[in-house]
Amino acid sequence: MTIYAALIALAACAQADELRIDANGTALELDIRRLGAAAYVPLQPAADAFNAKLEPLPDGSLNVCIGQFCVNVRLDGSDQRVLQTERGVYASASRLPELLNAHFGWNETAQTPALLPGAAPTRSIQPGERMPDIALPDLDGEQIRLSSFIGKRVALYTWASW
Amino acid sequence: MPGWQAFYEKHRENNVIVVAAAIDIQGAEAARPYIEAADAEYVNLIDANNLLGELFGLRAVPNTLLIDEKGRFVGKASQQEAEVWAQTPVGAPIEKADPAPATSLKAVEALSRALPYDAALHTLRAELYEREGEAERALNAYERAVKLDAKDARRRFRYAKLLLQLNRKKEAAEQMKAALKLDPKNYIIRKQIWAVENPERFYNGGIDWGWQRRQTESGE
Repeated sequence: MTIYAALIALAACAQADELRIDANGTALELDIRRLGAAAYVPLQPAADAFNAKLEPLPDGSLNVCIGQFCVNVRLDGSDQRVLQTERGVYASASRLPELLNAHFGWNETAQTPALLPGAAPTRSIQPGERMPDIALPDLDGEQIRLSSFIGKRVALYTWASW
Repeated sequence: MPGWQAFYEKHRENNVIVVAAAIDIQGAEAARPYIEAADAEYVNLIDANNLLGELFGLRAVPNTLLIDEKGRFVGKASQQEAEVWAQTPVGAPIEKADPAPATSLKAVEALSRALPYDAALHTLRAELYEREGEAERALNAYERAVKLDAKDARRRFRYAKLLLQLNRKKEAAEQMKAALKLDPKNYIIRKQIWAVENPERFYNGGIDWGWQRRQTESGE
């Protein structure tokens, strides 16, 4: 083997070009695109597994909808969650859960990562949206879930010692 | 936390509660004296990771955020607006939702091995190691993420919090300063740096506001 061939073999070992993942019970092998320090995979097959509809909007953005739950993504390059390619819309692998109201679980049978229904706590929120179920400790270190206040109206006051 | 005990007493009959959260990278011990002095009946929580700051896009404190009885975010409000909101009638109580599912560390480790250049996966891995109390692994994962992508303020802030927990103050301050450069208008990060580097201005008998003003004016 020439040094060049060895280098190519090494590169192939280090970086997969397909990602095996189970999406809502469907085994997928997704093509991988790298952009800087982020990996992207095709959105459509994962969306199909969740019966999610991809709805283009007049402003050029895209709604990813499961029933009444929609996430809006911009395709103009300003939205790191998605990447427009000549083969369609790709989604950031780490942020697929956010787009599909899902979370990363483990598929024991296939021994692969799995996308499972139900969102893990999210990062940002707009008025009208449901609060993610964040847990924060009290002074005694006991974790209090925000979902434990459901049924009451909450005035949440944020402050700091500084 | 001025006025919130009175607010709580006035509105609790109307199904309104007060939850106060201290956004404090230094954790419960920095917040404890203030909470104990307030001697309030409402819920007090500690948000050392600035989770609420990220969630609501906060760049300064204090803030009042209103959440309805179905767990939906209503909006940011002044204390006066909160008074009006608290007096409006409420709907019938509803059933509690199931808690959000937890992300599998094993899955994120596998994804991170398959996609070793992906900074966000290393960050997610670090956050899950923190959840498991595996500080060393979390540090390594944050370090890799920051090396791959230096331009994420949130990542650096969380990395800084972990460093501070391990009493590595100098490195924590470096990460916080890098985070502030990426998000210069974020006063949560800015003042947190001051509090870590100059505790005597904050925790010895009251906050030195004149010093803070001079800090701001000098661009520190």
